[in-house]
Formats: sequence, C-alpha cells, structure tokens
Amino acid sequence: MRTRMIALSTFLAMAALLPAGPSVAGRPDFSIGLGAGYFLPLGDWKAHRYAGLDQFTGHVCFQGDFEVRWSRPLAFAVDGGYIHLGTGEWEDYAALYGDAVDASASIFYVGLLWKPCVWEDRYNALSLLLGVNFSAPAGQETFEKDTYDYDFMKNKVGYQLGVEFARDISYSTALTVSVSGLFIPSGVEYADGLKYTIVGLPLTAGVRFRF
Amino acid sequence: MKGSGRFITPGGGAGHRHAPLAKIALRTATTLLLLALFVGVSTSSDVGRLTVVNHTEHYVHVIVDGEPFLYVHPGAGAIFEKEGYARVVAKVFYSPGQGISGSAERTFTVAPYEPYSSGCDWHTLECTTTPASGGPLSWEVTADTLAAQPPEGTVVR
Repeated sequence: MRTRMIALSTFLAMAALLPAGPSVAGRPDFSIGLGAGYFLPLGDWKAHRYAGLDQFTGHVCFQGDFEVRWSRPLAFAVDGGYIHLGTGEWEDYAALYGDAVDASASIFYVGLLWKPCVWEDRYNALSLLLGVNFSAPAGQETFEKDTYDYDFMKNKVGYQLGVEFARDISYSTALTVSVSGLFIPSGVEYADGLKYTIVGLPLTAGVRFRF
Repeated sequence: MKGSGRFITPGGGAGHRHAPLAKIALRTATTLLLLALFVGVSTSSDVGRLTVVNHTEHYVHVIVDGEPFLYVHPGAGAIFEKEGYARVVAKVFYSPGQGISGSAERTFTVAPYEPYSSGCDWHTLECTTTPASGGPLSWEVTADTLAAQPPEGTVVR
C-alpha cells in the first residue's frame, strides 16, 4: 500500500512539474482515457461470513473511457473498468485449517459517465464523475476437487461518483488522476437473503489522448 | 360549460360517449390481469423444487445440478428449482476454513406436482386414475449425513 501511495505521489509531482500544453480553448472535443491504480474496498460486503477477516481485499484496477466534450463545461463518456479483488487472506486462513482453497474474484463494469468540468485553467481541468453502469462482480473457488462460482456475487446496476484531475502535457496528451466511489447495491447477495452493497474507491492515474 | 366534459354522468350525453371506452378499458385490464394470473400459475406449477436444509452446526456449500448455493448457515435451506422433470445430483459439503470436513451426494428426481386425477372415456367406458406425483422435495442434511460418505470431486461452472 505504501509503495502504491509513493508511486501515486510521484505521478502527481511529475504531472505538476511537466511543461504544460495547449490552452483551454484549444482542447479537442474527443479523447480516450486510460488509467490503472488501486481499488480500495470499503464496508461489510468484503468480510467473510464466519472467518473474521476480509474475503476480498484491495488490488489493482484498470479503467478506460471514450469522452466526448459536449460543450465547454460538459462532457459525456462511455467508460469501463476491471477490478481485481485480492483473495489471499482468505486462502491463507483456510490453509490454517488444512483446507486448500484457490480463489479469484473481480468486478467488471461498463457504463456512462457525465463529466461536468467544475474548474479549469490554461493547463489543468478538474471534472466531476457521475456515472451509472452495468456491474458484473464474479468469483470462483476451487476447494479440494470441487470448483464453484461465487453465486453470491450478482450482476447489478452500479453507480460511480468521483473527480478527475487532468493536466495537459501537450496538445493531444494529458496526465490524469482520478478518485471515485463505486457503489453496486445488492452486488453481494447470499442464498439465505443476506445482501450487501459493494462499495469501493478506485484510485487511478493515467493518460488521456485527445483528438 | 368549461370543464364539464371531465364528469361522467349516467344518462348524460358525455356519459354515453365515455362509458364504452371505460368498459373497453376495464375489459382489457381484466383480461390482462387474468392472463397474468394464468401465466403466473402455469409457470409456478411447472416447477420442480428441491430444498436442502442444513441441520449441522456449521456452514455448508450446496451444489445442485451444477448450481452453487454457498455458505448456507446452520438451520437454513438452499432452494433449487427447475422446470419440468429432471434427475439432478445434489452435493453438500462443509464450507472450507471451519476445521471440519465431510460431504454427501444424492440423486433426486425433481418434478412439478401433479395432483390425483381420474376420468372415464365414454366411448370405451374405461375409467382410469392417476395418483398424485412430483412436488417439492427436501433433503435434511445432518452431521451424520456428511460423515457417512467420503467427498467426491465435481467441476461446477
């Protein structure tokens, strides 16, 4: 975690120090953004049902979008992302009881983003991220000779709320940092009716190519 | 008078114009409601059901016909439903990480409930009776059930 924070801080410092690119008026209307970072899961959904630990922990995430600037302060985007969830803690715990468990879990989402720009100057822009998406949490586990899907991870409509900071480094390129909250109501729903909202923070850094 | 058209008066001119429309709407709504009820009833009656109840003191994983029901807590049941007649394999084993192991597997025939029926053919004068069949099944899983059989592997996707 510390290493990731250092990497993110370094990226931010680089973005601030790099020579800036074009002016606001010159920014092209279309862009593709790519980012990678860390997903920080929050809330009870990640807890194991009886082991007293987190069945799912934070891990890497990737996201991308195709953005269209509708007017000067407003842009829309089609976005998608892949979040890998850590399952190592759970596997280690099961191993303590002599159970060989091999698990994997992830969240895939694709949706629409409304990106009103709340502040910008010649080289920088800060936009809100307001999105709705189709989310597909999924997982699988092999225990002894049995392999089964995590039936309690359900495909649902999800929501995204966050901010993205972009700093232009050339006419067609900007470095970006984004922090957002991802909410998937009833994304975890056990067979006995117990439900949780998947909540987490994708923290990503990336690059935006404008054209 | 402005706005009088909103009132439907029995025997009134406006009432005569609006009543058939109201009746048509009512009939359509009733038909749709009956259709919805019919579809709902026919759907539910075509489903066979198997409930696997966990009577152990631990969490169990249940897999029926490839469909997993994970972390079924003590006292709870996993309900498997399938349309029509089917033979399914149900497997139950202790969820990992509890310090206990054991599993059991059984084959069930799930089918929708068919009530007792009887009837006569008036041409041949033969009468037949069909006993009730199918209906919901239940597997009560205890600690003894899971201790009785060694685990066998299955791959479920």
